[in-house]
Parts: sequence; C-alpha cells; structure tokens
Amino acid sequence: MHKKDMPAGALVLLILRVLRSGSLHGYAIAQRIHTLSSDQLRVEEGSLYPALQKILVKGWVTAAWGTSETGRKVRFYKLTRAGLKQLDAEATDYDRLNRAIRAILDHA
Amino acid sequence: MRELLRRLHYFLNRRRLDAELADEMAFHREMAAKTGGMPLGNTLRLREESREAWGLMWLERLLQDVKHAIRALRAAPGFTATALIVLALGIGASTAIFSVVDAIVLRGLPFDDADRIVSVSETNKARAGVPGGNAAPQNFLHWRAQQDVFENIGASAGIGGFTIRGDGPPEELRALQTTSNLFSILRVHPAIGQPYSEANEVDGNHRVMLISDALWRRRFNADPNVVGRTMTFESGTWQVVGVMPAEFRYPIGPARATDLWVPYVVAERNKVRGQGRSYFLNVVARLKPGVTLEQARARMEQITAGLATAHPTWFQDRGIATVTLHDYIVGASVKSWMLMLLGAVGFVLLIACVNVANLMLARASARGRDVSIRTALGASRWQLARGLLVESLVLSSVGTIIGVAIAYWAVGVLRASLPATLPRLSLVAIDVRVLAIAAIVSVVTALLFGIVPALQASRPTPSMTLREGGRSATASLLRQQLRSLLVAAEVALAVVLLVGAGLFVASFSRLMSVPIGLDYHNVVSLPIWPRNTGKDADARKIMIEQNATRVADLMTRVQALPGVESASLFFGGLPLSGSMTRGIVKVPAQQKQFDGDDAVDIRSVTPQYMHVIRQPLIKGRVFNNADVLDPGASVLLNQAAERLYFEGTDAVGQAIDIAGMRRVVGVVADIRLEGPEKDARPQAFIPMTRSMSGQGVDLVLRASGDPGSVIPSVRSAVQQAFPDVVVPEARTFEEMFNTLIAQRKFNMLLLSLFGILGVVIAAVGIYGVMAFVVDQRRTEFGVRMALGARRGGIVGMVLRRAALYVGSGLVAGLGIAIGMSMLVKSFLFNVAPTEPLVYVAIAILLSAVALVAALVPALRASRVDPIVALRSS
Repeated sequence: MHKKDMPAGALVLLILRVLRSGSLHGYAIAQRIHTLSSDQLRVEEGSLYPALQKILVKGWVTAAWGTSETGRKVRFYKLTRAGLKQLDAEATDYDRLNRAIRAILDHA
Repeated sequence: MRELLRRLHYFLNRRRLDAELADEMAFHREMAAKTGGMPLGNTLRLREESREAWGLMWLERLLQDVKHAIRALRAAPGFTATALIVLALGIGASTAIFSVVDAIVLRGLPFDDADRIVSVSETNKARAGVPGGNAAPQNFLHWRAQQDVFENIGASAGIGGFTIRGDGPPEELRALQTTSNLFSILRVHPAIGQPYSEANEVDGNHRVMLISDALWRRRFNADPNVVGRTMTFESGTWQVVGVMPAEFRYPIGPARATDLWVPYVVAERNKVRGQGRSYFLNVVARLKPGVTLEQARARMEQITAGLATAHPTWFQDRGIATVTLHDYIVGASVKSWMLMLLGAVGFVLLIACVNVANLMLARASARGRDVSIRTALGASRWQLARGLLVESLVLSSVGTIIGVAIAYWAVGVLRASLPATLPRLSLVAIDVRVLAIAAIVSVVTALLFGIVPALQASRPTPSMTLREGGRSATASLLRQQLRSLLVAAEVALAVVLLVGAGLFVASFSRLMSVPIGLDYHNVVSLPIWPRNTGKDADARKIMIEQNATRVADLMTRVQALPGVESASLFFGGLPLSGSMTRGIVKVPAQQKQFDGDDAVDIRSVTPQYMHVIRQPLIKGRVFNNADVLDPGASVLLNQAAERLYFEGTDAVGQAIDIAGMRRVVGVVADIRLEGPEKDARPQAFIPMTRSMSGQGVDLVLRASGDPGSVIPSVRSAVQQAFPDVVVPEARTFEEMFNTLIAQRKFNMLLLSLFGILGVVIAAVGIYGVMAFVVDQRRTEFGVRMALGARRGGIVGMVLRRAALYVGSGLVAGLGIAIGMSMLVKSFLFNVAPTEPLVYVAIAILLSAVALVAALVPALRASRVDPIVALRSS
C-alpha cells in the first residue's frame, strides 16, 4: 500500500489526538503522526502549519515557547479543555462514520 | 465571540506572529534535513496559507490594496488632483443640497407616530384640497363636536400681550394659545410639571402657562421648583405649570422659537355664527387607531358639507383640506421645488462621475503595459479589477472628505440665500444623517466611475500589448470608443443642466423687467404699535387720542432727521409684504353690483405717502390738508379700480362707497402690490384718520441715501416717543421685494452655478480625450505632413473628430432637455419650457466651449514635426 495522503479534516483530528498525551512542537507532531501510523500515514508537512494556525484561532490548543531536544527555541503546542472536547466529538463522529462505511462494505 | 477577539489579536500582531511562524518552519526544515525526513514545500506559500487561517486575510489584502492605490495616485498628481477637484465639487454640492432638502422636506416630525398626526384646514374653493389656510373657531368647534375619526382634535393660534417690561427695553415673548389636548395629540409631556387641562380653557382659570426650556433657563435660572412661580404681563399674572423638554418645538419652523404655551379660551363671540368671521386657528388631530388618512379626509369633508348646507354663507367659497401635519408644514410646492433641486444636483454628480471614469480610462491606457505584465505573471482579472476599484474608493473617499468641507461652508451660504419663509429652514445643517448619506453617495460614486474602467483595464490581452510596445491597437481602439461615448454623455448631461439654467435665467430676467409701479429703493417701513388696551371704552379712547398726539409729534421729529427725505403714515397691508385689507365696493352711478371677487384693496395714508413711494399721479390730485381735516370725504383710486368700477368713464369727481360714501379726487398709477408676478389689483387710498394713527400704523419713509444709516435714529425716535413698547425691526421695501423674488433668484443662481460646473467639467473631458487622440495619432500626423498635408487640414481633421463626439452629445442632450423641461414648467415665469431662444443659445454656448477645448490639442497636432514623429516610432 502506498503511503496515503491525509483525508481532509482528519489532520486536525490527528493533531489533537497526538497532543492529548502532552505538549509537542510542530516537527514532533509530524513525526509522531508518521510513526504512530506505522509509516502508513504521511503528514503533508506543509499543511501541518496552516492547520495548526486554524486550531490556534479556534482556541483548541495554546502555544508556548520552549526549548527543543536540540536546544533550540521553538513553539510547543498544548491541548486546551476546549480542544479535548473537540477531540472527543470528532473521534466519536469519526467512529460513527467508520462503522457506517464498514457496515456498508460488509453487507452490501 | 472569543474566536473573533482571537482573530483580531492575530491580525493586529500579524507581523510578529508571521516572523515566529517563519522561525518555526525553519526549525522544521533543519530537523528534517538532519533526520532525512520529508521536504517542507514552498515556505512562503505555506506561511500565506497559515495566515489565511487567522481569517482576516481579506482585511490585510484590502489594506495592501489601499496602500498600493495611494502610492499609485501619488505617482500621478495631475490625474489625482483633477479627479479630486471634480469629485469634491460633485459630492460637496450634492451633500449641501441634500442637507437642505432633508431638513425641509424629507425629515419626519419629531413626535411619536408623527405620520398619524394630521392637519385640518379651511381652503379657498378655487384651490380646493390645497392646505394652507386657517380655520374659523366656529367651524373648529363643529368639527370637534361631530368628528369620530380622531383620538383628539385640537387647535392653536399665536397670541400677543406677553411683553416683559423691566429696567431695560421691553422684551416681547412669543406665545401660542392651544387647546389642552394639543400635548396629547403630539404625545409630548412637559419635562417638569404637568400640561394644563380642559379646566383651564375657561376664562378666569386660564392664566397658566407652559414655558420653553430656553425661557426657563433665561428667566428662572433653571429653577427645578419653578412650578407655581409667576410672571406678570399687561394681560395679568400667569402661573407656570410646567417646562417643556428642551428639544420641543411647536409650531415647527419659524426662525424664532415659541417661549410659552397658554390655554386657548374660545371667545363668546366665536361660539356663535354672527356677523364677522375670522380664520386664525391652526387645527391638528391624531388619527384613531385603524382609521386611515383617506377615511378621515372623507369624514371631515362629509361633516363640512353638512355644515355648508346649514350655514351656506360661511362656505360659499370655502373648502376643507385634511393632510398629514408633515405635508401641511412642507407644502406641495416646496416639496416639488426641493426635489427639483435634488434632481439638478444629481446631474452635477453624474457628470462628475462620468468625467472621473473618463480620466481613469485614460490612466488605464497609460498603464496598459503594467497591467499586461501583471496578467502575464498570473494575476487574476478579479485581482486587477479589485486594485482599480480600491483606487476608485480611495479617490471618492478623499473627494468626499473635501466635499463635506465644501458642503459645510455651502450650507451657510444656502441658508442665507434661501427665502426666509421656507419651513424648517432653521434646521438645515450638516448632521450625522447627512454625513451618512454622503458616505453612501461616496461609495456609489466610486462604483459608478470605477466599474467601467476596472472591467475595461483588466481585459486579458497580455501578449498583444507586450508585443506592440505598449500600444495595443485593439485594446486602445475599444477604450477610445468607450471614452468618446463618455464624452458624449458628459456633453449631453451638461446640455440638460445648461438648458435648465437658461430657462431659469430667462425666467428671472423677464421677472425683473416687469415694472411694479413704485420705486422701492431707499424706502423704509417701521411699525408703530402703541399700547391701547384701556380698562373700558372711554379709557381706551383717551389713550388713543394721546397716542395720536405722540405720533404727530413723532412725525415732525422724524421728518427733521438728517437722511430722511420724506415720511408718511400708512395703514393696511404694506406693498410687497404679502398682506392686505379688502373691502366691498358700491358705486351709485353703476347698475352693476360688485361682489367679493371685485373687492378693493384699501389703504389709509397721509398725503405724503404717494410722494414717498413715488407712485405717479395719472389725473386729478393727491390728498391735501383739507382731506386730512375731513378724512371721510375723499378717495384716490388706481387705474385698475377706475377701469373696474367706472368701466372706462372718468372717475374723478364721481361718488363711490368705500368704507363710507366718498368722492374720487384723483387716479394714481397701478402698483403690483404682491410683486412682479401678480397683476395689479383694484386699489383705493383713503386719508388717514387721527384715531387710526393712534391705534397702530406703519411709518413709511424715504431715505436720501442708504436706508441702513437712518434706521437707528428713526428707531430711537420711536422708542423715545413710546418708551413702553417694543420697537419692531425696521424693514426696507427692497428687502421685501427681494423676499418676493428670492426663490426665483435662488433657482437662477444655483442652476447657473450647476450649469457652469457641468460645462467646465465637460470641457475638461473633451480636452482630455482629444489630447489623448492626438497623442495616439502623432505618427500618423507626422506621415501625413511629410506627404504634404497642410496644418489647417490636420486641425480640421481633429476638430471634425471632436465635432462628432460633441455633436452627438449635444443632440442627445437637447432631446433629453426638451423631454425633461416639462418638469420645471411650474417654476418658470413667462417662459415656455421649450423656449427656442434658450435652446439655441445653449447649443451655441456649448459648441463654442467645446471648440476651444478641442482646439488646443488640434493645434498641437498641427505642430507635429514630421521628422521627430517618424523617428520616435
């Protein structure tokens, strides 16, 4: 299977998901999505930053300056309470959609 | 909401945040390079996309466009200045005129549900349904008793006798007597205290008053406990029951606001239908919920028809008009006049727009290369058009700011030159409402002049323009045709404005050439109103006798004042003042009965009067001292009266009954008492009696020089003779004459101004296009001249081209003008709307201006040096 590009809307869900376990900087977010999906999903790196800006404006994450593992000053993103709620909502939606599609594939 | 604030925060800090984002991406790139990860892509584009997520990108783009536009406009100062001047004049004129029309016509009345308040007035049968008259109290009482369509119906009338007499010169307060329900009809409650009630509409209980906020501050030091305090006038001691709100005005309109309101007590004689009748009540009412104006009108006409059957003599020549209070105050003729002015100024604005559109097209041609390059680099048509539209908006915004400044100044001028009799003239000002309209006009203007050039300039023809060294044959041809069309449109609009102006100028000059029959220059009139309210008839008689003696002494003194050439006393409506006194005439020698239509205008005068106003004597003699001693014996007629009452026979020496049987001693020339527009009416002069001169007369005198220099000394002489009266302002006959012609003069001046503006703007347009055409065809002219064409031939070629644009505009304009001229018919005096002279004159004038505007570029074309022209291409 080819490495797939992200379906629309899913990127936001994944960013929120990987941030649930703690705050990360942009590069780390991309890496984490990549590894967690067993290299199957590849974050279109460019689209990560516009998506992050959108999430920031929505108030689902906050950004704070910190130091990276290489000792460089970089922005870390942290999930907010509103972001957690959004994550739950989107995950539920995703599950429902997924089940529906699965059901159709199995029985049609 | 939170999100919006966050977006705003991002927008305001966009520069710092953008830098941070760039830094973050740089870090990503470093890490990716180190670990052999994936490439990031085009950082710039990503940054832009990220910023877009902040959501106020459009605002940022707009700011950028504005910045670009300002830079571009500053780079072309000639174009910018011309466009700004044209726009500022157009928008300034429109704003100023709109502020006048708005205050006088459009604005509602400052009362709750004002459109439910109606005015009921009696009318002249000849002008049935046209409001304007007042009502007789008897009729008002009947209406009130019989109507069932109004919540309330009330009346008001001016009332005198409220003069404050203290240490200084006496001050006369302006008072209005009203039925107590007026305040509930208007739905206005006093700011302090209570309105008076029906119980106060009874003689004896009536000395209570509501005072204006201004009077309260001036006379009672804004005392919050003013209710119960009193003021004493010659009519007695009146108690304050309340203070009206500061913004309350009733009646609406007069230059001097009302100071106090008192209960209207219907006089006993006005409760019955006796001999005399007078019409002085202003009747207003509020419609019952659910009742329409038409229903109320029908009902009131029905009631009045019933009254007319019961009292036929009262309604012989009278009708009734029921209209909204707003329509009553504004009046149909004022409304149509004001809308005509608004239409005229609309034309000016339209010409300005067309002109600026033309200028922008010219600029677009000059920028063709720039546009082509941007198109080639991938700018979308929308992006190009948007830039040009923003440029238009910037131009019109700046033009509006300058225009509003012009309007601010112009409103003062307009207010001073409009007839003072216009309703609500004192309310004319540039206010928030007017500014809001100016802003809307500004945007609409920008779209009007910006949209065509924006669409035109953004036409995608990149390869063509680039290849041909910046001169695209097709694009510029199309553009040129468009520009020629715009010039023709400008000419057409200017012609319409000029024809309008021409009609008003012709109308005014015909008005001024009408002889009115008297020499109104340097004549001053000043009312002398002595107090003559005695306790009883005898006391009053003594008072009048004393006053007459004082008036006689005063006359001697006034005649001796330096600067006074001659002086007389006068009673009745002053010439040119619009007021009159009429009487029924009987002629013993005639079979014919003369009724109300043949009534005579009666004036009482002292013998010097004819001399003062220089009214020529036709035959017989003027009054002499013998007439003064026996004032009931003689009368002077004017020619119109002699014609009417004696049917061509000589009146001198004949008997006539005018306020008693008299003998005609002479005939004087006709005077157009009501101004140049109305024919002279039959007029009679009778000698002034002594008792008349003691009851209130006008002093009419001729100054030997500037009347302004004698007025102060005359006024102080009157004040000395009557220390306890308020000496009114003196009026010159010239002022009164100017008031009569003010509307026509104003129309003429304003329309001429608009016409001149229109023609100047159009000339700029013609010049611009012809200069451009000449510039484009430089090479061609060079070739032609090299081949032996003559200079005259070249000039002729350019002029023929101009004549095509101007001629088509002229024809179209004349056609539109003929069509529209009927709209101004009612504003013209002795001039037909299609007066050929005006149209021909305008055609010649405009052609001449166009010729000059085109001649300059044409001459330039003929001076093209063939060698230079050929080499440069």
